[in-house]
Amino acid sequence: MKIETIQEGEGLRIVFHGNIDLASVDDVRSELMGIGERNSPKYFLDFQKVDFVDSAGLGALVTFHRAQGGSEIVFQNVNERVRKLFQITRLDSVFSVE
Amino acid sequence: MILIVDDEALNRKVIQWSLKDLGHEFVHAANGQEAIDQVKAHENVALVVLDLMMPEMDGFAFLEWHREAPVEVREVPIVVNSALSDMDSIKRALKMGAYDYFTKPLSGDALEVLLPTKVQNAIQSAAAARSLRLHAEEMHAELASAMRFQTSMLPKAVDFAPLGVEYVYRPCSLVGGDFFDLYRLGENVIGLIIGDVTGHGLKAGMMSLMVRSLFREFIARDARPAVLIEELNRALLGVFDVGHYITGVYGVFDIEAGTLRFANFGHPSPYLMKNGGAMESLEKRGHFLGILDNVLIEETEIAFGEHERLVLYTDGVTETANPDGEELTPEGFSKLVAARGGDDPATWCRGVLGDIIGFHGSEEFNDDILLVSCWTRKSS
Repeated sequence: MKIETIQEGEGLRIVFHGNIDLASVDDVRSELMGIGERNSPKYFLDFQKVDFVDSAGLGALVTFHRAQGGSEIVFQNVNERVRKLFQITRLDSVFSVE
Repeated sequence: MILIVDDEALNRKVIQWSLKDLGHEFVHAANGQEAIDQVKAHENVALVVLDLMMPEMDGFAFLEWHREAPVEVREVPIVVNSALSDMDSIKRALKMGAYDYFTKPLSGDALEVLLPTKVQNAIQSAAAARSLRLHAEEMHAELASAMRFQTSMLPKAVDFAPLGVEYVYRPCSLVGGDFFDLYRLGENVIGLIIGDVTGHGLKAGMMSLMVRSLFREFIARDARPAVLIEELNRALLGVFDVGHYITGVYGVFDIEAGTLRFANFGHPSPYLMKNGGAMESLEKRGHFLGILDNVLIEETEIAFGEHERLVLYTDGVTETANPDGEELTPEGFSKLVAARGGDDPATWCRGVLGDIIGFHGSEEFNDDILLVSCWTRKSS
């Protein structure tokens, strides 16, 4: 799993390259923890290269979301499968998905 | 203790001299049979130096015996020292489990440096392998007793009349993170919870036991689904490892009134199976517990009559894959469930588990499997 960060104005784009699942979740969690320390006022979580997210991956995303309480977090380029997962788990009421 | 096997007494003496500084005692044998007797007589043989060509029983026959012996004996490494210098013999001995092979006669350097060093290495690596095995056995025994403990914590279905309950639980590694509990609130009122802690194994198993004891504490205070789930979430915040959480369904059956009031926290939707197999998926869901400060909970009441059955399961069921890697999926599971709609409720779960095993092609699963079925026993 590679995670790329791109500064966009005052926001920070986080591009995940690969699936966020049990196999990658430890990497994702520690990378996101490091990224969160930059205290950006806005984060764009870019799912362009993400095919699917499993239950372990969901935990990492919710944890990041909660830790960045003061920042705006926007999920972008989310495919149908992941969007459906957010709906089923009702996280669409927590995440802002564009 | 080192066992030296050679039909020539002089050879045995030379090898003993070569290994004298390793700090081991020595025993000797003049052929394969004597070597077997010595191994059986001394539990602490750490290594065997083995000649191949010997009268009565040769070294290959000893290797053959060693290969079939109990694990404690198989772990004793064998260093061959033989006049057979052709590659076929060397290959054969190594294939039969010999740790190393020296050809006779041994040179001065071999006796002074190579043989003692290789023997020392062999003894050390065998000791490491043995301690790893003992450790694994100990772990396995502890997990097995944890499994017995976990199993003993599952509810006894017979105690919950007029609610009929049947379930099957298959943790994938002895101990699992799925759990299920029942709690009597009144003569005809029974609370039920099914839960799945992320991950599996010992840690998930311990977490599930903790959730179960919290459930028992909270339900005694206030059994209303939204209240209990909210309480559970508050108690679990910051308790799980980062990123871990629990999903589940909690509900209260009122058998006299013919109702079920429930809420789902991030768990796969239960099914209501009507008499004859028509399936209704109970789609109301809320957030999983343990990470978010404020969780969305949707409490609903449905009719639950005498001819209906509630089917609950964990995602290990629907994510079970067939040999081609295709998952069962909720749709596939629902078909499977409906096909057994006419089965006797008391044996229904076992039938469905058999179907899931049939789909999977094996009894070994990658995730915990829990399947619960409830029905009203008012008429019986």
